[in-house]
This record gives sequence, C-alpha cells and structure tokens, in this order.
Amino acid sequence: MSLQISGASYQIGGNHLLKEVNLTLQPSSINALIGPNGAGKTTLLRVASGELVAGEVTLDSIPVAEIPLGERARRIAFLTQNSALDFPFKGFEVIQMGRIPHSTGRKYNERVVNEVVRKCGLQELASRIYTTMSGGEKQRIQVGRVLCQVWDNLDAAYVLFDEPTAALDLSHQLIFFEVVQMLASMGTSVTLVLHDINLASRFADNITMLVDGQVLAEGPPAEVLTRENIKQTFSVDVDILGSGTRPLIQATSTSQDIYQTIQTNGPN
Amino acid sequence: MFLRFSILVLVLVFASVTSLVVGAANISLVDVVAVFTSGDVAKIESTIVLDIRLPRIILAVFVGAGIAASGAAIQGLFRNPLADPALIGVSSGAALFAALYLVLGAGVLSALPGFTLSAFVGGLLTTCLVLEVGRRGGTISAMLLAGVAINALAIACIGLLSYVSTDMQLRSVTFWALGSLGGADWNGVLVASGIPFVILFLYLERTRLNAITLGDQEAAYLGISVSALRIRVVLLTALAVSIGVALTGVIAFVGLVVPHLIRLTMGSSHQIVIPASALLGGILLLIADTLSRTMFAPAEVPVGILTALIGGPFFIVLIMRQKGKLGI
Repeated sequence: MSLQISGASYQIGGNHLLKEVNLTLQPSSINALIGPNGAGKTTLLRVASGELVAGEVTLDSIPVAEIPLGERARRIAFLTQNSALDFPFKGFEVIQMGRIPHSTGRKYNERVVNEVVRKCGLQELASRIYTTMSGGEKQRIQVGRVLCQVWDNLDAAYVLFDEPTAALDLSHQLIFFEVVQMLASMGTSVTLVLHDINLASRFADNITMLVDGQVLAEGPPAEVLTRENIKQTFSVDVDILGSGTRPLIQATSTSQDIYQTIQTNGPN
Repeated sequence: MFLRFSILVLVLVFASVTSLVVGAANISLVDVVAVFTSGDVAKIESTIVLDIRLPRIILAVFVGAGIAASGAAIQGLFRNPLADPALIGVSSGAALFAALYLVLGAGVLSALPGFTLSAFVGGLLTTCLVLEVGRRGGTISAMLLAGVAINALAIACIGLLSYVSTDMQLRSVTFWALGSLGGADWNGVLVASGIPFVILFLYLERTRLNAITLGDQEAAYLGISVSALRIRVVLLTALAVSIGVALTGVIAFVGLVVPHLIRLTMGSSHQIVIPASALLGGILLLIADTLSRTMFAPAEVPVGILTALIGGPFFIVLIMRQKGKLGI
C-alpha cells in the first residue's frame, strides 16, 4: 500500500518543472516537501493527485490514471492554495462539499461533517458566511472540507496539502498539525508543501527537498536538514540548533551571492 | 427553508389568480371561477380566460423559471454572480438565429419547432463562443465584454435583416428585440412545457455545480468530470433560454436578478438556488407581464422593457458592490 511516483518529468513551454522525480508516499506518515519558490513542489502534488500526467503514478500498484475520478477522490484529497470560491456559502456547506464523492446518504454525511467540525474547532466558523471570512478562516474551512472527503477512509487515504499553514496564525498552525498527526496515527498518508523549515522539522517523518524540479535530498528531518543542503537549496546560511532527530534551524544570513543579487537588482 | 419555499409557492398561486382576473377586459373573480367550474359564462369571457390569459400565465411562469434557473446554473458554472444568459449574449444569439430562420428559412420546418430549433442552435453557438473567449481571456470580464460584443453584433445583424424582410416579418423581428408574451397561445405552452424538464435536469447537477464553485481543479479532486459537466450545463441552459427566446423574445436581467435575490435570502447551495430561482423567476416574469398588459391597457408595454427597467439599475448596483473584483 503506497502512492508511488516514478520518473516524473513535466515541462511547460520548455520550462522543466520536474525532472525524473521519484517519490513514495507511505500510509501512516507525514511527508513534507520543501524547496525555494518554483522548485516544483506544487507540480509534484498535482502529479501525485493524478491531475497532471507525468512519469508513472500508482496507487496500490494500480496506475492512478486508470482509477475512475470518483474512486480516486475517495482515496486522494488535495487542498490547493487558491480556491476560487466567491459565493456566499455557509462554512458548513463548504465543509459538506467534501462528501460529494461519496454516496453515503445525508444523515451519515452530516455526522461526518459534525465530527470534523468538532475535531478542527470549527463550530463558530461553520455557521458564518464563507465570503466574509479572513484568509486564515477560509483556509481552516477548506481544511475541514478536505478532511471530510476522506474521514471515513482514513487508513487508506492520501491527503495532499499545498502550503496549508501560510494563512494560519500560530495557534491554528499548531491545531492544524495536531490534526495532521491524528490523521497519520489513523493510517493516513499526509503530504504537505511547507515553507517553514522548522514546522517541517518538528512534524514531518520524511522531508523531500526539491530544487529546480529535482530531488536534492530525502529522508528524516535530521538527515535532510543539514547546513549544506539548506545552503544549496535556499542559498541561506543557517545554524542547526539541537542535535536530536528534529533539529531547529536558525537562519543567520543570506549567502553572499543572493545578497549581491538583491543589491544590484532589487528584491525579486 | 420549507417555509420560504411555501411562501414562494403561495405568491405564485396568488400572482396567477390575480393575473387571470385583471386585464383589458373586465372579468370578475366570480366569473373566472365559473369558467373553471360550471362553464356557465359568456363565450367571450370563457375564451379570454382559457385561451388568452391562462396560456399566457403558464408561458410567463415557464419562461421566467427557465431563464432564472439557467442564470443560476450558468453563474455557478462560470463562478460569477454577474453572468446572465442575456448579458453574455446567449439570448441575443438565439434571437438572431430565430430571426434568420423567420426571414430566410421559414417553411423548412413547421413554424414553431423550426424556429425554436434555430434559436437553440444560435444560443448554443453563442454560449460556446463565450465559454471559449472566457477561457482564453482567462477572466470573467473577458467573458462579459465578449457578451457586449455579441449583443452589439446580434442587434446589428437583426437590424440588417429588417432590410430584407417583409412588413409582416419585420413586425415579428421587432418583437424579439423587445421581448413580449403577447403571442402566447396553447401551441406556445406545448413547446414551453420542455422547460420544466430542463430545470429538472439542471437540478440533478446541483452538487456538481456546488463543487465547481470551488474551482475547476478542486471539482476534479472531488471526483467530478468538469468538461462533461460544462457541456451538459451549457446544453441545458442554451435549450431553456432558446425556448424562451423563440416564444417570447429577449427578456434580460431575470436570469441575473433572481438567483442573486435567492442567494441573498436563502443561501448559495444549488440544491436551493436552482428550484427557488425557478419559482421566483416564474413569479417575477408573471408579475412583470401582468403589469405590462395592464399599466396602459388596452395597449401593452413589451415585458422586456419592464424587466430591463428594473434589472438595469440593479446590475449597476451589483457592479459597484464588486469593489474592484471585476478586474476591468
């Protein structure tokens, strides 16, 4: 049982977003994808979801492309960064949409929604109008929706999150990761694109470091998050604090060449 | 929610009865009741109620319901509350093709079915064109602007047609440009009876339409084949709108205003928006039509003028409340 990507290459207009990427997502694990902007993290998630076709992607040894959309949606849930939702739905109505792939009946679905709402602390948000919520509140509702999609199938589910914590405040980041850890303990394979290396270090079982569409390093946090790897990936000098399995990373300075680029060209 | 639906149904019944009673000819409620029960009324009154007012009421309700439900579905599909079958050019595309059929091709099929079919082809072509422009332009404003262009083009072409048409045809062509239920008869009702089925099919897409408001990608992750859904909804809305256009001409803004009011008062889920829009659309067009034939009785104001008078300002307010989100 696993979601396997092998030899995934993807390009748009001569721009290589992924080059021969291999990745295996195991059940009961938390996987973090880290890397600079444009490294191909989102593209890799889209490949894993079966939306983009690149290389060979198999779910329990069956090619994802051959799994019917509805069946796939019951196994793989994906929370993208930018939801276009611009209609005044109630919060719980949005969460409910996670049940669309299931034909489990209204009563059952309501129970699932209630459980998710309780687990994620969304009671108050659920009755509010989505379009009036802040970015972080919308994100929490969307997380609830994605959880609903796989809630009764957690031991066989693969959940993909693209920068789930970007809009969340500190306490909600921690609540989010508590939920993620709960999912993993129930057998779910959770994969997250993260920009905060320390969150990745603290919560991930595996970290995959992507640079220019290629996997630079892969493994447990302490193995991947080394001074050299981080320097090579982000061009940033860091101090590694603590010597355990989950190191704490502190950026000391940007390396000279980045600094000079900013000096001459301005940021971005 | 049940209460709100009940209110809508009650209003619809009340509006229908009122519309049976009022009009250029003075017929009392007692006589109207007599027409339906004993039949013990003057022939002329019975004809007015059964063959003039009743089909017109049914037609108004069906067409209004079809346009409003289509508006609701198309707004969901385009993820924009400003989409309206008339605004994005679908109605005028259908009207142009109906006019083309009338002036150039009449006699190929018996009038009404051929006409409706022709309107359907026009409506379908324009919807596809608008979808494609929206896809390439990437924004909703591109789509709305395409609608402006298509409307202008259709009006120009209908104008051109008036030069090659006979006086009789010209009268009919003018009738579409304005939109009127004056031509209502039982044949029209027969053609319009397709509309409730279209609404039913749109209702079957309710959860998928909910999903697509999240985004095309997100809907696909929920197991929905987005391209197939788009084709079905486009076909259905083009069908409902074209039947409406063939029978009554272009009636603008009903498809825009009604779903908006429903979302405001009853929520955004298409499970509610589609049926409630159909009900309210029927009610509004019926009231508008009743007003249009009684305000200056015995003269009639085309009902399209009335809906535009109300809908135009409403649309402007909506645009202003978008607060720069349109990106024009």
